Amino acid sequence: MAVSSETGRVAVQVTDCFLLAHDDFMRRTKQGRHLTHSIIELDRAPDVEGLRKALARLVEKYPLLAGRLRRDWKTWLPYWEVPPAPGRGLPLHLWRERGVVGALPDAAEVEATMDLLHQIATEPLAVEGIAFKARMDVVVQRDGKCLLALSWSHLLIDGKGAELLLAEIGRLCAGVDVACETKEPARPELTFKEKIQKTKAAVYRMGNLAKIGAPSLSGPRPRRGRAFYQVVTLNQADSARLTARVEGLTGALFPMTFYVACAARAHDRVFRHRGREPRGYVISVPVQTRKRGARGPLFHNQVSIFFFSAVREHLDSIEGATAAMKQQFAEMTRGRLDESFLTVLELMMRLPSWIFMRVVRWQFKGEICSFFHSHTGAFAPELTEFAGSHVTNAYHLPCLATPPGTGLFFCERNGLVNITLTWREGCLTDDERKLMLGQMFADLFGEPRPDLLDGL
Amino acid sequence: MTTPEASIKHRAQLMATQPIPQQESLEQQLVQLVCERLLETQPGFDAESNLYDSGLDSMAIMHLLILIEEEFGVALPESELTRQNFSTVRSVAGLIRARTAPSAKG
Repeated sequence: MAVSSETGRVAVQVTDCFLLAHDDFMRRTKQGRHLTHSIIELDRAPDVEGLRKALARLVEKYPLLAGRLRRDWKTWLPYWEVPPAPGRGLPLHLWRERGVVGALPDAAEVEATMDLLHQIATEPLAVEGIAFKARMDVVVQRDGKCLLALSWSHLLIDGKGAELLLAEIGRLCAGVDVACETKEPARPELTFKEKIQKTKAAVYRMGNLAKIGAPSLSGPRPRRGRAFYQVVTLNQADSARLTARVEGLTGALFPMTFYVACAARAHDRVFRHRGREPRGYVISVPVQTRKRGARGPLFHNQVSIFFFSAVREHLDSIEGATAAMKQQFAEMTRGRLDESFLTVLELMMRLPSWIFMRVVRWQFKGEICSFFHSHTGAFAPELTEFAGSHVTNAYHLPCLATPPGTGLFFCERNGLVNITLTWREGCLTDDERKLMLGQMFADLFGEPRPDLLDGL
Repeated sequence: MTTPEASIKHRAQLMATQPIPQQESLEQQLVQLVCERLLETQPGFDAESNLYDSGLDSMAIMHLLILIEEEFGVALPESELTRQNFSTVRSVAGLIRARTAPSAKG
């Protein structure tokens, strides 16, 4: 993170501009802001005072968390204006579900945790005029467990960054205050001609995908509505069984391709239920640009995108769909599509957000992609203790815009597989949601699993 | 127009005519490749270090396969893409040598 001490400016990363345009699109279409909740489940309530101190130190250490996005009037490039460290920590809110007594006496009451998360997604993160880009909520639940939500803006943080940030807060709670790796991944210095050359692979790919189209369950028209989340945590036996099946189908090394295929077939099931059989789907999958093995920078969207396609002839079986995804993964990696796509975004950085978004949606006739998906692997495996409590589970709950209005996300924690379905009000009926989950479980396990649908 | 895929294949074919280094030298070259182009490794990383502990994931494995094709002209078959085979640089080097041994060339 290069901070100029004279101006307090921090440069944005290439993909930040897409997220800036997307956030602006959500705001203009009255869908709230682009927030994600990163959840860690704890065995008991954390040490709140220790947490408060850690959050104060966090903001002191990283005042960028209260930064404001500006656009340079000469270059038209967005940048972060970093204020002096505000005199307060990252907002921390305490809650307890109705009926809970004893724990966190200062906590406000909430009917259910999911209601609270829906509410947070529509509230501004700024507090007392400070433009915070994240907040933290602690909820003691009726079952005695405790859920901690770090809600963050995609303008500044991405999924991996949120995991790193939680680990950093955890270290601060434990009294470990060390400098964090903030080295940004290096981008090659290219001439304009070289950049144009480099965009060709991505432009060619997008041209081919446009012929397939990217139908979404919401349709291309943006619409307001609450964000909904459903999290399914598979038990130890089912997680182990699933892992073995994934290894059998993808050769153990490329599980992401299986999960993309499952998500595509689950969405296709709903489309067919609606009497539609689109030619195919386009799925955007983020790929990390942080160098593997490094702790990496906490902030900015350090990702590129792979656009997968799932065409009708590949959707007949999960095996066929997985093989098609695997082939595309190899081709896109080989063709350096991640780099090529980043170069396209780099050339678009100076565009005002509304034009940027128009360019993005033009290709797919108003759509962005058919649905969002990611398989982020193990969630912050180094984070075992947090503010004096033991971490029992962790996952992300991304809040999506319409279009596309739906997303299926996978991650693992302590060997357990977490599946998150998120959708916007009006994009998925209750019957369709069950159909989607039913199809997904059948593909995940190779046979229908009505037992997993019970109570969902 | 030459596609990037065709260009890499062509390069792989050219490289395949070059002799594959001896095991120890091959391991050193692979360690260097991994450290410089693939993973942010810790000091002391060597041929026996666990690659997964060093951050090897799906994307990195795919990059590694492509690097092996580009640098050594060896395309590893799907049946050999197991977790065990990619656990250390030594095991990966063993795969490359096995693919280039006279009996493997057919």
